[in-house]
Amino acid sequence: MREAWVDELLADAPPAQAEFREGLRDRVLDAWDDRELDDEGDREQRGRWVWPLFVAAAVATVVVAGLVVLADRDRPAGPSDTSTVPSASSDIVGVWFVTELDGVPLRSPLPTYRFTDDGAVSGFDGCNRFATTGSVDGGSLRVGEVAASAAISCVEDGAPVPTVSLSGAVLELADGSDTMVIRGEGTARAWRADALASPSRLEGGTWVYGLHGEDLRLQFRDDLTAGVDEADDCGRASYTYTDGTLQLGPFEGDRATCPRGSLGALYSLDGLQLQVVEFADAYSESIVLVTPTNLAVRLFPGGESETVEATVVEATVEAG
Amino acid sequence: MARPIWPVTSREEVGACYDDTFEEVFRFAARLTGDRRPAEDLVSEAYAELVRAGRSGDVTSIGVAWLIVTVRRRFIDGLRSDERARRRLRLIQPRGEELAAPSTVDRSGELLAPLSERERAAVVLRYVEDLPVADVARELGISVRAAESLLARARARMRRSEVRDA
Repeated sequence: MREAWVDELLADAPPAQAEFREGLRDRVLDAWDDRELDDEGDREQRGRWVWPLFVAAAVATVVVAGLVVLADRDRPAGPSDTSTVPSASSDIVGVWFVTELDGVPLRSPLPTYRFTDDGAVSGFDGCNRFATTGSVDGGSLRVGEVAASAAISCVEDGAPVPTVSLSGAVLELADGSDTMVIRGEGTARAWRADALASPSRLEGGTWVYGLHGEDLRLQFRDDLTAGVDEADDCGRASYTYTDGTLQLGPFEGDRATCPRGSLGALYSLDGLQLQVVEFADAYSESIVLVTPTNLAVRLFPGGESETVEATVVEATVEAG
Repeated sequence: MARPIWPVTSREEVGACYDDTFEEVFRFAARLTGDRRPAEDLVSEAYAELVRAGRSGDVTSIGVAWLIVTVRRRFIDGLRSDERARRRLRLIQPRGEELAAPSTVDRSGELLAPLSERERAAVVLRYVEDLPVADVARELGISVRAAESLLARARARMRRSEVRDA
């Protein structure tokens, strides 16, 4: 049942101005009539506001036919004098995260791709890790055939895990923007991601990440200790966080009551130096821990505590 | 109770659909945006999409929910684009200078006024559209926990504002 304030909210919504209402009605009907004009072959009389619909549809078709991701622009590229990737593709160098596949947001661990300036391509496709090489093809980067490094099962809770394979794909930057169009030679799938920056927020916050249907809570305290789950039930560790690098672990504590799966994924971070990156898209509100093996663990701000609101959500995010 | 369905296969049907649905669609858009002008843009886009879908034969009849969902998706897409644009601006902006405040012309909806655009979107999706939290999360591209946090902050902010205004 709706709360009273919701009814108040709806009742209080402002009405449209009559002039707008009538004007839009005319335009809607004019647009509809243009079909009859089209049928008569009189394209010159096409309504002025219908064209954008067709343009938008065409653009959407191109986008859907490609794979769109956004790059980590803040990661410094390596030496370029020995690069086998031309300048047109140099912006591809870095770590890329796929956050959405066919319109469905992905959960951690996110598919991750790392392109280096010597043409190496490696990453995690959402199920398996892989490594291959890239080659230049007319200013684009063509990814070589990918052979999975581990034949692990790609099923979670009885459902297939979404995977993203770049095997044989061609990568191109779109208009020098933050987006990259990937022309697959097989099925075309739509990706979405966002530019990444070095985070200005980590300490003092509670973060959540999903794993096998469970949510783990990871707290970074101001005293430089980190705990997993309520009251550190799943372990505690010291941490350091400097210049985007997180050193986490070793973990101590009884893990017997930990959520299923936490022993494998969380503690694979134990003792590692992790690169911490942040999605510039505020709607994701997330940061990502990147392991040396390209496994990416995505953390979301969690809990409803004042700490989260004060130090995580409303913090100013500086570009790295 | 089943909600009405309007056929949209002819000029007359689209006109009737428009007449019957416009007010609800506009009020939803206005509540979502908090501003009359962007609400007008969203409503225009929704009906333009209806014409495109009806002309192409993609749809032959719709309920008002079809238009509401179209408005919502356009709004959320716009939020994402706006946020990216703001972040890019932030990168090139001299420190200490603030970005221009959003338009306050025709600002309405005192209850939602203290909320950020994203909080407003979450509240409208959850409490006006009655979407489950999981669906709110999916629409906004965040985790369920983050959506719960967002809604909790929004409710708290509204409560604080109410207390201040009392």
